Amino acid sequence: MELNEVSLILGGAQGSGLEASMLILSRALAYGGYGVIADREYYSNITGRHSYIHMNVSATNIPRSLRYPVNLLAAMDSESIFTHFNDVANGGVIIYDRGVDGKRISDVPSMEDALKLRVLKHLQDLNIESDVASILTYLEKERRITRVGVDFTRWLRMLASKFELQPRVLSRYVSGIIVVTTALILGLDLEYVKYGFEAQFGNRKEIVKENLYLMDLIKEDLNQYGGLLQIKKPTINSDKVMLATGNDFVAIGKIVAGVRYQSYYPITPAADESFLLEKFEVIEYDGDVIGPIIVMQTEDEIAAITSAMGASLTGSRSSTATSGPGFDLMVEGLSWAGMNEVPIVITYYQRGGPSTGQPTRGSQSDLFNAAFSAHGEFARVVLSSGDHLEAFYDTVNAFNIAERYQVPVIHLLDKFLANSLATVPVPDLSKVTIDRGFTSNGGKDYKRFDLNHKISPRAFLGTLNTVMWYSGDEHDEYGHIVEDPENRISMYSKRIEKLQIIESEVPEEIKLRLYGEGSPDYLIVGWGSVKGVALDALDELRKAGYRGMYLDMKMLYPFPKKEFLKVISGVDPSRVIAVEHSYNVSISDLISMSTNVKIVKKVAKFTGRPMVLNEFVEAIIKLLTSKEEYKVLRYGA
Amino acid sequence: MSKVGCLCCLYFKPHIYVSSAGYCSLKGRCVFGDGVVCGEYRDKVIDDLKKVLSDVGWVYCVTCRKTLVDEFELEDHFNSHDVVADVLIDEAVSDEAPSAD
Ligand SMILES: [Zn+2]
Repeated sequence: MELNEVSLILGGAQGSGLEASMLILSRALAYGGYGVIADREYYSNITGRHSYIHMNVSATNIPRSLRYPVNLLAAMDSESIFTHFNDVANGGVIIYDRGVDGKRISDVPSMEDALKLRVLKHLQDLNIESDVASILTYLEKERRITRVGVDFTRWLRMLASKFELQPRVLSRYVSGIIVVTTALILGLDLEYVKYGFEAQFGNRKEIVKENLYLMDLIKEDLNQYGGLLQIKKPTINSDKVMLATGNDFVAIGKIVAGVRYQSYYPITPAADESFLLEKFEVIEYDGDVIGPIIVMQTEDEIAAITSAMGASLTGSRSSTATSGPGFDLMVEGLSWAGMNEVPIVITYYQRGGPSTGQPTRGSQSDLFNAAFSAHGEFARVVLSSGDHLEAFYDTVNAFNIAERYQVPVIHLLDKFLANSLATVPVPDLSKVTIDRGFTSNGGKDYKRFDLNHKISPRAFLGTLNTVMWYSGDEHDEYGHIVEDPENRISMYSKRIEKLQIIESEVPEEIKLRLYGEGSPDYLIVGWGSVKGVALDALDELRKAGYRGMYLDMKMLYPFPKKEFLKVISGVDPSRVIAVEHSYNVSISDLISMSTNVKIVKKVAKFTGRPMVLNEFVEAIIKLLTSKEEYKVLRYGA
Repeated sequence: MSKVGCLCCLYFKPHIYVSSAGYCSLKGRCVFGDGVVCGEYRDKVIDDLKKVLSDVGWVYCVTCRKTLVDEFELEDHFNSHDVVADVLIDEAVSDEAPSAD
């Protein structure tokens, strides 16, 4: 039987070629017309620990979420088998290195003790020995899982007998072995894989050639497994797709938005965005050089935000990117931006906190930090994006809002969105507009904080014959420090009351989006990266007879009360479920304080791993059919 | 150690993840560890590793995928793990490892 969709895990030591395997395979699949989403799960210790890529590949649509069990596990080491064997579906396939057959779980020191104990207990319950061969035999017998044992060393040796191998690039061939074996099992046209190698290794022709030689060897040796999990020919109706991460889409969005200054201090999972921007500091278009974009790695996040504010005051579209710990350092600067009405965009990628927390794992636990941090009262906007494509458009929206209302905008994303690689339709640039707001040419009597306007005309530092003053202190219309109580009332109110203007003027599609069928018998409310799994869950639940909708809250602050209340009005409150990657599911508190609507049913996940479809659907059904109010999801290694 | 061939040779520098292959620091090329050893083979004994530890400051445990930085650690790992004087870092590490914490 041919499959519409295949889920797979590629597992191995971090740094051993998994990332390249994911990129080659995803490029091959995208080139062949398949839809792909790939999540990278890795430890924060940089290299050596167990990492895995969890992918969903579809022949019929662009996948939005991940799911368990997976059809295929490609294990580069024994730890991957011990960690994931139970995630493989009946009738699935495990690709593994025959050299690890005799390995016992006690031989794997890199596994954390708690996981080892859980796996050992599970093996004991199943009455299986704790070595690779015993596990694979059990899976073969009891769960019809085919083991495809490959001999990495033999193939590498054959390769070495033909080419002069550089030992320092061995992982490039290990990636090749994993990708080709996987592609064979999925019954992919190997021309796609060839394209994947060429795209990945670009001008390193020797590595491409050697991998193609390996491909022939593998094809011959593993012929019998070809098409074991045959995926259907793709029928996705999209003429052009991009394969990129959320970090990439934000960076591209910034280029399109016309960013001229980006600052950062390296931090996971934000840094990749700045690295991509660095590659495009000078962009040529039709023979003209656009830009340049100055990308500055500052000494810390305080300098990152303050330098971006300085750049913004000169009229450059300016931004910075960080995650929770970095944002915490930026908070004083954020308050300064509020006081001085500085348009600036902070791209905030959430990760697991508090403190250093789980730096390379995901989270949505910083909603309140984004919405309420910093001293004093002032207007800010917090926007979120549900997927890669939205992240692109919202990046442009963030700058437009920042400049139109002269406020800091926090674009709140998370690690799952940042680091996952996905095939995404190419953004439609005709939908993009640039709004630089109320600007001024300044002049002799220019008042930067002119009280005749709710949003004062903005002249840029350096404008001819124009003087303006910026300080952290309360000021008059020129920016001079004053403490007069009447002036305080006018200035202070003016800054805060922008929130009302923003709430009333920002178009509804930037504030929230509603998906699913009308007159639903349940409503899921969430924001950010839960969108994909929530939408897939609606489809699954429809098959089970539930009619649902998903409300994606995009503008989180100021909270769009009017639009939210309109959506919620026809829905039974006991059938509303809030979902979030956090303990508290803070969106429900934000809704409650903004609208008085109390959502009591919640789905939470705070392991740092993304919500996957199977557990999500189960939780929603449980909440809809029982008195239970709070479900914590925990699936995923 | 039950391993044979170059794997037990002091001059064999295994690849950090594909430890059956690596670099022979005498011959300066890629070798596979389980093959027939050459005339230059030198058994890897703990005293050699102790010397490396004192000269360089670390040796590497392939089994644990980590550096060992003192003699107690070395003794602890030496008998049951694959400890080597040096390890070959793959070029992919720089692309594959997260760039910050
Ligand atoms: Zn060890």
